[in-house]
Amino acid sequence: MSFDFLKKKRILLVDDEPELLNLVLSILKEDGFEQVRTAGSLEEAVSAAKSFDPEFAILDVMLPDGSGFDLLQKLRQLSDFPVLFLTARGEEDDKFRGFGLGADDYMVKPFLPRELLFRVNAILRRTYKEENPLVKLQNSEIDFQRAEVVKDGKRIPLTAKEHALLSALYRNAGRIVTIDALCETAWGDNPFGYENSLMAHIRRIREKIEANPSRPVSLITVKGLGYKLLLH
Amino acid sequence: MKSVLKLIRRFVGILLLSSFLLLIANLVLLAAYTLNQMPNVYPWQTAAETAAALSQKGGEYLLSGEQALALEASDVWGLLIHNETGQAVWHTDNLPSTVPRSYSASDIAELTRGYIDDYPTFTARAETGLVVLGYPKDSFWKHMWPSWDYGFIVNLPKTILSVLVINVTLIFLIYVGVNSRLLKSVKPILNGIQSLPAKETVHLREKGLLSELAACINETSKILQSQNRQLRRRETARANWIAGVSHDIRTPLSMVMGYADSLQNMLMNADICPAEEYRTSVGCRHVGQKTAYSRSNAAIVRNGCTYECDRSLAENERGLAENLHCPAENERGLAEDLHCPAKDAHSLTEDARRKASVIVKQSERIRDLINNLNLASKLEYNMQPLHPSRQNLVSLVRQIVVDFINIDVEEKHPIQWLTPKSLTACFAEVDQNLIRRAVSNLIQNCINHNGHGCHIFVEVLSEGKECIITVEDDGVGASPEEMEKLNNAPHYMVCDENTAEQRHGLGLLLVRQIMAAHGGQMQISPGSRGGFRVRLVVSLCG
Repeated sequence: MSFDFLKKKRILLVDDEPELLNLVLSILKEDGFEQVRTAGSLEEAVSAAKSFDPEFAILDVMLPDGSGFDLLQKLRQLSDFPVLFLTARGEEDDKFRGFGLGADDYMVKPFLPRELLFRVNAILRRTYKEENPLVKLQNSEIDFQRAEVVKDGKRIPLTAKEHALLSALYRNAGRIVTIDALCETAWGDNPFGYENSLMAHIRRIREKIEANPSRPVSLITVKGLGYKLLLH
Repeated sequence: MKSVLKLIRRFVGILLLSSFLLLIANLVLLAAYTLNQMPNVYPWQTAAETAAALSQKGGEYLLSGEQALALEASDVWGLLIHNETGQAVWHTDNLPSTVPRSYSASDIAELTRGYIDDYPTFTARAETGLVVLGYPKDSFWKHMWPSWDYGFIVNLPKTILSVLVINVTLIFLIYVGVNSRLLKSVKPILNGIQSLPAKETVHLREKGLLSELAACINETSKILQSQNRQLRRRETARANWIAGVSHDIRTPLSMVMGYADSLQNMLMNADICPAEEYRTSVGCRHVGQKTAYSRSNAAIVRNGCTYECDRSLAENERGLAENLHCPAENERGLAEDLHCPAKDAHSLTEDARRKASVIVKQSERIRDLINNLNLASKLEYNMQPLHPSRQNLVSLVRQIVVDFINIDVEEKHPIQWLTPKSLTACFAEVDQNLIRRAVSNLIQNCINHNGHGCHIFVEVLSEGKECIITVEDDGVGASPEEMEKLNNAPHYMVCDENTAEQRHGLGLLLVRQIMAAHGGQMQISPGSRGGFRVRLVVSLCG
């Protein structure tokens, strides 16, 4: 499945260090993001947010005319787009404050461009969905909008739990999702003791998406750790 | 206060024991002295011997010579009072003139119990009368007058014992009373002294018996508080200094890492299809080592790679043809104008790519170092607040392992999860972020020390009331000397000696500090698979 539509999202980039702005700008551009606006101060950022109407923002915490936390509060009055803090302030209290204000992620400098891109893309994937995405697997396709699996021309409905589990696996496609994270997705904050139920649900999902559920090729078990969804 | 009561008990015990021993000692001494005195004087016996030595011959009384000498030697006079007449029928030559020669029954009763003219007298029965011996004045004190009730004498042992007990009790009460008053004044002093090690501020009333001591403790407390404040300020300054440097270095390091990583990746992309991308984007094609071009083409040569651009094709690409110099006279201008993805790639060699990769790797090391340094200094100076909560360590460690597996694209360091399937939960009261940091550090250590790759084994076990997290690898491991150093050599963060044997590398120190903050342990040992093994032991929730 293609995420090209995400590259068209408008991104606001705020940092008081021009060199760093250039670096992040080039990282985003090279990854294919076309609409990136930069700002070096809180005031510039608010002004840019009004005129540019960003769909995602990367904010520094320490700005010459205020803090990134203040900026986030101001931006929240304009819109509810996702925000990632990229800052040199790595204290736990700062992180808690950032997340408490509604940030979607918090990255401490220094960082590797790849990691920044992973996080940016993950947030955008979680936030923005294509109108009718069809996820192609080896032996089937998943229609998340309709909560159905299309296999051999037949449409097989997904239950709410199966849909939730597949969504979580799809958001992390190609990566292992732990048993605990999947249990939490399906059964909420206190997922302890649902391991066997999870296995039963996984088996049912495999029956729907795999050609041979006993020899899965799309929904792989990683022994003791979790499961991985492989896209075609 | 327990120690004070113990002290009082001990003092009272010693007091009672010493009183009892003193009494016994006195009795023994008295007995010894009395016995020592007895052999010297037996006046009643001497009187009886005199009576026996007195004989009558022809109406005359005669004393044996031996007894007469004995009496003379002791300066003792003697007389015999006849039973019937009351007259002194015999006497020694040294009988003082003041001693009467005639005695009535009342005189005899008087002299038996007391004195004749202040001479202490002792009597004995003779055949015909009463022998009376008179010892020199002030040689004996006769105590014949007092008499006691029989019941009093019978009860005397009980009375003495009762008096003894009452005395001891009185002594005890007096001692406790005196001590209680002393204790009352000592108590705040003791409390003050006990508060000093707890670094609490102490201010005692400087009044009463121990006012000087109270003043000294107050002064000590002031000094300690001042020293603590200074130490705290210094530690805070040091931690802030480290935090400040860590903060300030992050942004420049971001740029170093970011650009180095970009260069490295560009080169990697270039390796995949530089010529293809170049050609398709602006109408160029890779021609290898070709050095001759037609006039209709533009060319660029970089680091041994030559690109030939067809001028007519290039014209279609956003009007770039205007900027093309054919043949390329200005390589840089051409490369920039073409907006070719491969242009930068080919401005660097394979050697430069390796160097860019080294910069990224070393920057990552600096990043990890400053992150660890910051946290280690805060833990060392107790400035890191702990946020403990009930955590399932199996879930927590599993997530860490999965995070590492997900980013290990090259699969150079595969991680095996050895936790038994039956163990699904292991709850402990821990700071989630710190435990995450500790386990991540251990896994990262395995990766850092085994650059060529190794297997990493992670296991969570529940043993008794403890949860044990083991991270092990089958890599290069550590020699016994290195192991010894890791266990015993002081780390430079905590070393206060001027020694060259300080240990470097903050990873394990940080893990040890995190475990100490949780009341747990870190155990380092050679792994069973030839590598390095670290076990973290944490107490389970009750």
